[in-house]
Amino acid sequence: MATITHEDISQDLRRIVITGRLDTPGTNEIAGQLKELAASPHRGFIVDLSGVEFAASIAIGQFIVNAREAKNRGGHMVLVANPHSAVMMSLTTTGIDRVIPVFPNQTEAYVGALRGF
Amino acid sequence: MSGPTPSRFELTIGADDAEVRRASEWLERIGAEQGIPREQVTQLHLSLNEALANVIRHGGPSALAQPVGVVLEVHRAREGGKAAVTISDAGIAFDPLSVERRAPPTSLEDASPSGMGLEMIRNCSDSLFYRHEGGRNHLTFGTSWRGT
Repeated sequence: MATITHEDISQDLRRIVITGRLDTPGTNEIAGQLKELAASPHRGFIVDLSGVEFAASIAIGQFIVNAREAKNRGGHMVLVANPHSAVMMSLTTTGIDRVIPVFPNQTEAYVGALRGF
Repeated sequence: MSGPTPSRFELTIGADDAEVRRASEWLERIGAEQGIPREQVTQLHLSLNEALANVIRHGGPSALAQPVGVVLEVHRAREGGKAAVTISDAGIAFDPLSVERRAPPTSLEDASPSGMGLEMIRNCSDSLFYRHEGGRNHLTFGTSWRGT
């Protein structure tokens, strides 16, 4: 089971927290809500994957789609992932860490998201 | 790597997403029991998930109608070990090794949100073999490690 929650840190910055297994069923559980949350007028989005145990390529595809849509609206999306996690392995083996900034913790992600404005 | 006869584990699943999760749990449990390092279990787990997802999405009706076989072989030796997973399915014959590799994306615009599974398998595997035999696809992906 996967879950998704969010908090608005400021008018410009939203943090989206995803937990659980992002295999096909898990990704389908959160995809709609991720799209809605990432479509808000905020300019910066931090997608926190620290609590995600596993991310299949279908989940990585969702991050690409939403990061691209945020960028098209003049926004910026960054990810938070443990550097030694299975999620990080998914991001590196698909090369997505090269095109969506990935930070090891919240503090660095805040700076990164703000820098992207 | 020479050594004793490998340990072999078999699982048969149906071709649906719930069964993929069951296979993932099976692999993680046996991987831990067999002392496969965490990183290598994760590599196998990612490849397993992507390979089974491809069977379900692209294997056609015959893939969905017949059981999917999953075999894990683990070789352990003093200097390290290796583990390989073979997935066999009755779907449309498809050699993933025939697909041209794609370069990593250089920009968000360049990144494709689909078709990444095969690259994940390739990048997570030290060895990758395919054969079509007895009307079934057999895909084997392996990983190895030094001393544990």
